[in-house]
Amino acid sequence: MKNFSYEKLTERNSPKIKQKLSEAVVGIAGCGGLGSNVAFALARSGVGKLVLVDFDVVDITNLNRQQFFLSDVGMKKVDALSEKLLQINPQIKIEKYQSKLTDNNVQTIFADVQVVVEAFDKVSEKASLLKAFGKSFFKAKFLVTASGVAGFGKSNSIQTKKLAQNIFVCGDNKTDFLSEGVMAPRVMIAAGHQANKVLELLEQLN
Amino acid sequence: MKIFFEYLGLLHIEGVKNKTFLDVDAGTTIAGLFGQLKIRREHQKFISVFINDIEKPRTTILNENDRVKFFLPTGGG
Repeated sequence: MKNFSYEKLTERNSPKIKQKLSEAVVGIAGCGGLGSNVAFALARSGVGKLVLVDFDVVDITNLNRQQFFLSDVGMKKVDALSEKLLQINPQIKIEKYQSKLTDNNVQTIFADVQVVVEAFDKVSEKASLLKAFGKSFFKAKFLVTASGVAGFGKSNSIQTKKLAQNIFVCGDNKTDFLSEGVMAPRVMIAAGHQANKVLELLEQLN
Repeated sequence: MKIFFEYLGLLHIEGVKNKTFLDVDAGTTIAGLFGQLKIRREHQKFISVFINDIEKPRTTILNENDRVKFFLPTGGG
């Protein structure tokens, strides 16, 4: 470890949120295009603990938009991502789950988080996590979901909107990967929106 | 009775403008509203429904002036 200092890592961050971030716990549901980019942004921001969930392994087709490298292909995404986050902040606490998120495990996995980032690519998985947030267990937690991040161009059509009291959505709510594909720039813009909303929410929490 | 209705995502609801007031019968549930608006079954299972900014189950009965929001996420990430 090359002379790591949390103080130095966060020296140029906004002073008003510094303390809150070191104690923050954020869940990342899906460690692909959105999730890996959100996790990078939050680790660089100084978030104290991340709970990473993804059942998948890194595939070469992921490298067009996800924060992985050729040497990661075949690794569990949660492991490959953890390694990189620890290269940014060796003191970050990481809880890893190489599994699918289900009705049976979602409450246990996210029991201690303040905010969950929905970063799946399949509609069914996004809908399932949104449904879980309808339950009373999640009333005091926030969900930052994404919808409409496919294709290229139209940067400013990606927006953050309030869906419900504790749920926000980032994206254009239209573009679909089946017809337009997914590429790094728009996925990273949407991930930036998600990470930025997470910081805003953490700043507002007591 | 009237409700305020809006939808986000890839939904296209024939003959219903987005962000508009709708007439529904008293006692209509969310599931009943799906039927009234002819929402396709393959979409119904992925739609989240929010009433007055709170996510609600399909059995919820609508009330006068409720703000009802359908959200169908699109894939990709």
